[in-house]
Amino acid sequence: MSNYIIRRTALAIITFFGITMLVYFMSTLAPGSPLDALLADPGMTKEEVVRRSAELGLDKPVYIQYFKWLNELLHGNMGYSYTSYRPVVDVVTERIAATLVLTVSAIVLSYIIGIPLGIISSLKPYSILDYIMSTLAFIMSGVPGFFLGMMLIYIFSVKLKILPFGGMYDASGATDLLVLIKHLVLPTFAIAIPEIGKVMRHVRSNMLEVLTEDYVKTARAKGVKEWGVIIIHAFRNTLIPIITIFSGSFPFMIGGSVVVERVFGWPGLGTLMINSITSRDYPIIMGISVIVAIVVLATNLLVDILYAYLDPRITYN
Amino acid sequence: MMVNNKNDNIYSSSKKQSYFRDVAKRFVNHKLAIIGLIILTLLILIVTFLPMTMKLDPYTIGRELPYSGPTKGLVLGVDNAGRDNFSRLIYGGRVSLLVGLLSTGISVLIGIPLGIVAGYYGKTIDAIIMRIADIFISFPSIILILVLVSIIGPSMWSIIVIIGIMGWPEFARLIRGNVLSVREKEYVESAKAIGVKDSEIILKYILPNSVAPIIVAATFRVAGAILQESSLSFLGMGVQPPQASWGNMLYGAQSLTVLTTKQWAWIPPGLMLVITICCVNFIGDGLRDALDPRMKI
Amino acid sequence: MFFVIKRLETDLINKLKGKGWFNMKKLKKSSICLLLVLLIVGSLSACGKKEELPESNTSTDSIPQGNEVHKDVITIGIDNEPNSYHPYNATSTSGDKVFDFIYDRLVYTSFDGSFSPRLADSWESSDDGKIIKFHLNPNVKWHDGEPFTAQDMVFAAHVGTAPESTVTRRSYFSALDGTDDSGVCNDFEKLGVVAVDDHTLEYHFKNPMAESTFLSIDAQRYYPIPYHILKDVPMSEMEKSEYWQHPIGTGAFIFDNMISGESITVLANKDYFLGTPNVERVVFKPMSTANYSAALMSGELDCVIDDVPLSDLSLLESTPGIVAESRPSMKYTYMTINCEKEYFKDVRVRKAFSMAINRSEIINQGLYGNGILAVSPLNPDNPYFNKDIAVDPYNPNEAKKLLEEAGWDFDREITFVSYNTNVAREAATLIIQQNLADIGVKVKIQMVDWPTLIVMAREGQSDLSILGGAGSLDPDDSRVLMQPNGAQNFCNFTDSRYYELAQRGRNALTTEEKMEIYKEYQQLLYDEPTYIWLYHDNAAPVYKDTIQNIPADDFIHLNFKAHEWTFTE
Repeated sequence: MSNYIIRRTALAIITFFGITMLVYFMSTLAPGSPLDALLADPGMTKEEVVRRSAELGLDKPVYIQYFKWLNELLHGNMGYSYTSYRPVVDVVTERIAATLVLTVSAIVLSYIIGIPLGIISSLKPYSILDYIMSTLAFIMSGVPGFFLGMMLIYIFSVKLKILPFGGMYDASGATDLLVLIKHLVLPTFAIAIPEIGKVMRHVRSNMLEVLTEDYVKTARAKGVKEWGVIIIHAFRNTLIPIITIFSGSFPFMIGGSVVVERVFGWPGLGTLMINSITSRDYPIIMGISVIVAIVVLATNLLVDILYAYLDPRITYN
Repeated sequence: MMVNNKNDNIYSSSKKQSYFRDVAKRFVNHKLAIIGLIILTLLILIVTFLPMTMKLDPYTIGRELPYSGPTKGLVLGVDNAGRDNFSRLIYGGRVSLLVGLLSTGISVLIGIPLGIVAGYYGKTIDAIIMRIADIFISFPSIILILVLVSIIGPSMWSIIVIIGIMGWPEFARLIRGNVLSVREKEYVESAKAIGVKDSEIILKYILPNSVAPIIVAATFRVAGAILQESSLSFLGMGVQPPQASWGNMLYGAQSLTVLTTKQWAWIPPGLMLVITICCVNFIGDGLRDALDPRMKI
Repeated sequence: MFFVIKRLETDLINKLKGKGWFNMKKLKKSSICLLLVLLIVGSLSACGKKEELPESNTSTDSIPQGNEVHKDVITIGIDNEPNSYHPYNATSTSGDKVFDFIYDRLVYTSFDGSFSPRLADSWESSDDGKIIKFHLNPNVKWHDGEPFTAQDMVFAAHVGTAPESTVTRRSYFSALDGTDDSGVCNDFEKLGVVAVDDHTLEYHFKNPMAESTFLSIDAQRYYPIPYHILKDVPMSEMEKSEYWQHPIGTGAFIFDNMISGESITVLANKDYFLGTPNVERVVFKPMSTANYSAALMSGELDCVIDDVPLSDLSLLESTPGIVAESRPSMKYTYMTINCEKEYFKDVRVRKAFSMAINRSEIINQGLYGNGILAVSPLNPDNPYFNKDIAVDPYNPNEAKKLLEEAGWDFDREITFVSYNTNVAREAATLIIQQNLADIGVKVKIQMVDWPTLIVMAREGQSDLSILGGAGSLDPDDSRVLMQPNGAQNFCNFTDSRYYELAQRGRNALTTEEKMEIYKEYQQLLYDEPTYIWLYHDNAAPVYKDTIQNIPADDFIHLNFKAHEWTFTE
């Protein structure tokens, strides 16, 4: 078991370095030096660009730059932003809270809604209700997040005027929890709804399988109330599918939040990523990739270890 | 006597002809899939032929003041540069469908060989390929895509290539799974013993079994690719104007003024996206049920 | 992947049965608890760190005069947040605007061409134009209570010119004695900035410079840096210093906090030497310009100090309670022609291109009529504007004839590099493409993003591109565009006549001399174009009508005078 954990951790670490290499080399392929964009400012001179390039080590070959960066990273230093000169760690961690709030809320919401709905639709398979709900699930999982966001803004902010149309807090600078929740509602739904569709479908097919199992028939024969049968089996089924879907949906949600953040002006990692790509701020681009990679890989690792605990046979893979 | 191919066909009792008939029957029973197929066919016909018959022009600018509403001859009004929105809608359909199909093709072309190699030759090369696949799957693809786009520069073709490259892992895994399960079977071992070449074994025994799940996965992937392209174009990192795409038609709707007052500019492309993606998904679902209801994709 | 997992699941179900995991009450509770915990932790981490809003602690409440009100908070919309509060590293467009609320400058300019004192009470220049002496206001204090002295300005110049410093705005110091052409000074003893005493400051120039030029251009970028706080920070580390997370200034408002991407809050400086502001707190909200109008109409924003998109202007003008007027600005947009290319070397070709462009159509389509056509980097209101050239050059027939004369190859396809984050310029690109097509020139448009555009234009990788400048009262503003091999010479030409004229203009000391020289300069730009001037787009700041005494005409001069704003509710 511990052997397995060590192996999996080692693999995760290798994957992590693979990702960093991939992103680093890709970003250095962009034409021109990252400092070129600064030349748009009339105060900037060519000599200054040359001097700064040398200072940042941009004149060295790419692989040397990569190893220097990696070395710094392992000492906990992710460098300084090219535009704000602030430590990358600070800039990224500032924004990560915002994205996490959004992503976690979306995950929670999609399971809270998706699981019960999936269970309900599986109770009377192929009935009208089931049909409608399955179709709905399909449609929900096929809607682009940004269009959904726009429609939500249009309906709830513009027409009904009951929810704000963007930002994380009010314009007056108030930052209490109630304000946050008000602003959180729409973007969370925009991310969660496609996921709800997927969760519904998955739970439904799981339930359908299990409801034909022998122990269900036995339970019914024993006189356990239908309600009890459902709840017990719902729980058998929800825990493992949650883990299954979770490992697939987490990266999807981070990706989905990039677009939704743009629509709602949410000050999270997504908007930071797009801005730094636009301004060629490579330290920040790398910083975000590193943090996202760590989060995703750590999640996957935990999931795998959880599976191993539940069934040690996996470790012999 | 050579091994009977039909033995590894899971529909062992049916002959090929009635197999297809069964598939067709099951597909037709899936009502949503039929609706999806009809709508999609209609869509393909429209985007292919309408531009010629109606002489649509999505490129001329300045036909009206930007974002003007529907008028005679311009049923959906004009966009921010004064181009006809209706023409752009139809041409955008071409782009979205093209991107969806071509990028999926690229993903399949990359994924299948890699998956076969990984499954068949196993050990280290399997580990390497699957590790790389893991990287692609576990990392939010949009970030990698954005970085790539910022390097190569946004355009329809770069998007097709990039989305295609990002999509290979699921096909590789799929076919690798098939390869693994078939590899150990007796008839494969006996074929190898007789001296049948590796490539022949792959072609004769492994690929035919995999066709069904690949077709289903590819269909779902087309829907996913269309979604990805629209998100990228919406961010301004995908198909660039003057070329029209449903995603970049929604780009203008980032402005609340447009969102609030110029609904004709953004609701049609958005609806078209939803309808198209859903139809493709329905077809995929129908295909899956038809080809093998026990398939768990 | 799902195959395998599914099989595992069914196995695991049985396994779990064995492990007794189905105590449903416990599971239900624990999973719900877990989910709630996640949600709470997430939201707390987001808002737990934020500082509490400071309570209003004025003991000197201003009593409302008439219907003047002491407002608690106003919200101002900006395009993007300042990338840094280091005044010499500001590259974002909104940096200088926010700076005006917390930092003062020596002298301020105004739309009518006048100069007004701020940190400096008065100033005089020597007869030879090589020294300018400022008498500083002795009542100015930093936000921490320390007095502002000339030493702070000297220190600021050191920061700007030190070779180890990382600054983007060095060239503004290149006029000073002791610096090289790019503004680097290796020996501070020789630097032309002298603190004669605590309240007297002198600048010494390499070449004679007119007072108005220095005040309009270079001095507009001279922000003070607190010597008493930063004197021990090594120049090479200056931009990274933690100080910039919470900078102080001498201005009407004090930096309070910033939530990245969301808001910047500044508080009124009760001890401001020009008087206490009438609003307690100002919150800057960065948002996409496309959302300005909705935010203004819903009341979320009180004011926009940038420009609202011109497409939204008519909507805002007709909204009650909002003041929205477009006003002429000094900004200019131009098309660049890559003069390195053989086929552009003939001046007739470039003139033809200029004549082919229907600038009025661009102004109508792209600016909704809110602009003036440009034939020079100076707008027609500028005192130095050469009226002789103030004719719309649009003449497509003539243009086509010129092209034929010059032997243009009509099969040639040229590339026009543009970007789509500026609506007006995007429209201009398309219209120009059409205009050129009308005279037989094939143009292919390539849309890229902003940094790529800059690189491509400078490296000469395209034929045409479109850029702009902020402009200034002083015509020296466009000089950097003309420098052969200069970083901002986007047309890549080596003909130095333009630059020499601009230099002479810069060094001329009297208005009459300047008039002469700049007249010649603009005539040359007109007769032998390299940059094709397109339009001067109007400024469009918008604000609620409850804000009075707000100098909207001076916004483009970064002169907001927020301490003088009054509010009727």
